[in-house]
Amino acid sequence: MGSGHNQGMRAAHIVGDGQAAVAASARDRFSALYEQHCHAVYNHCFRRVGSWSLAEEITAATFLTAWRRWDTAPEAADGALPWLLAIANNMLRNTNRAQRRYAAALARIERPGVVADPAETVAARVDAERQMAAALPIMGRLPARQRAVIELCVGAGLTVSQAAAALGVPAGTVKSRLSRGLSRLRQELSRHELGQLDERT
Amino acid sequence: MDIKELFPPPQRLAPGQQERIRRVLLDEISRATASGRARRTGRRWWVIAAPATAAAAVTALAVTLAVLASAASPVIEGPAPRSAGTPPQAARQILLAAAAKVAQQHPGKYWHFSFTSETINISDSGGGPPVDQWVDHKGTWWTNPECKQGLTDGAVMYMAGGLSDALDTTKLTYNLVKHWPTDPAGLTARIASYDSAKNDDLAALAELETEVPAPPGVRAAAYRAMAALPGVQYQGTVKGGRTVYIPPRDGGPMVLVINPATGLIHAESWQPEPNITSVDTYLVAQWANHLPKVIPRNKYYCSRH
Repeated sequence: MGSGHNQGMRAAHIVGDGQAAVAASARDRFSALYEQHCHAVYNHCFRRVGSWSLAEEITAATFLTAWRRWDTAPEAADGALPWLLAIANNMLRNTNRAQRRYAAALARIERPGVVADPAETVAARVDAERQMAAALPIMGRLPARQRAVIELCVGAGLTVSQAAAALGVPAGTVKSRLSRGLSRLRQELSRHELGQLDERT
Repeated sequence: MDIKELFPPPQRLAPGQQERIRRVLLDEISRATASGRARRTGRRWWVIAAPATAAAAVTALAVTLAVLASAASPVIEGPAPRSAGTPPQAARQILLAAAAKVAQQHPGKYWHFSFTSETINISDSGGGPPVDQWVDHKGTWWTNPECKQGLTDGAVMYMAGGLSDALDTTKLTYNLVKHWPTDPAGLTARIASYDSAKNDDLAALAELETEVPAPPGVRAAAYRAMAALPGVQYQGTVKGGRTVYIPPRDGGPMVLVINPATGLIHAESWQPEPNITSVDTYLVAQWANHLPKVIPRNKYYCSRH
């Protein structure tokens, strides 16, 4: 009985070690995922919302969701970023909800003390926000599906097949949406530039 | 303004921001682990390192190379050069000959096409693995986003339709397109009425040859409609076929590489923007009566959350 008890304890100990090892391995792989793609996700979010601080929050929410959905992560290396951007798009569809959902997790970790960024970084961020403030209304005139493809292919630099994976549509659909979206965007840009010209004159 | 200038240059998360999110994640992970909610692991992540997987990858590569070799796929480096002065008759003859070839096709249950797609001049979007797609007459489609997997075991992942919108070619089912006009003018008018954006009729004609499961008469009409376009030019022969340049209309210009033996488009180079060139190379484009083994979509990669 005593021996059986000891065997049971040993077995439990081995199982516990195994689980810990598995968890550590998952944590390491997830950390690598974060380090590799955090900037790409951050910039994708910025191109959607035009605010660096909001983009930071949505980036955090995206990776928190990615961890919670770890069992749905793709196996292929080139599937990782499309998977993350698909999650980010879901977060971006309702940023308020995403922020509410993750408010507690984000609040647990305080923002680091204010460390002044280099002046050129601050200037570049201000310029970028100004640029996106002008770009977002133009992008907003595109049908949502064409806009999503342009954001992924032109903005985030995904291939057609990666964008197809991120959006859950066939690659042929991505191609046609990209083609039509770029044509439409070109028209909108021309209209916008003509409008600016009219204002100046 | 160039479209690429619309988006500001990317910025990196500042080290403090990156560290904050990292700590949020580590906190979340440690809480999950402590409460026994460790994530299911044991699956490969993106690093393909296991011996069995490496063997599969080698097999996939070999199959891919075999497909590439057998298809004699053309190599296009960016847009084809503009050779001045070739008479349009040469290009029209190529397109009309292709029309005659595709008019002899015998539609099967599935339109099967596989292509590689490369977008030039857009950051790092190099060519990916081939995309393999099957579409039945009702528009249900099967695809293989992780094509290496499918090429290894001949399986495709099932992804039901219902994802299309009014402008998508996915909505152009065989059962719909079979009622379309088989004369070039009628077909062009039908496309214009179908496509409310009316800004890419050239792409629509090309897609009728490559990606839309269209009946032979409609495919032939699409080639004849291209032959009637002003400014078409034959630009020489490359590996895989003869090049036909079609000047810009509402959409960008296009170069088609047409296989004279089959009438099929082997490659398509198109420019949605002056600075952006896409090259699609079709490894397979044919009718089939049998699907390969279908993998349940949730077994591999499901991107729809």
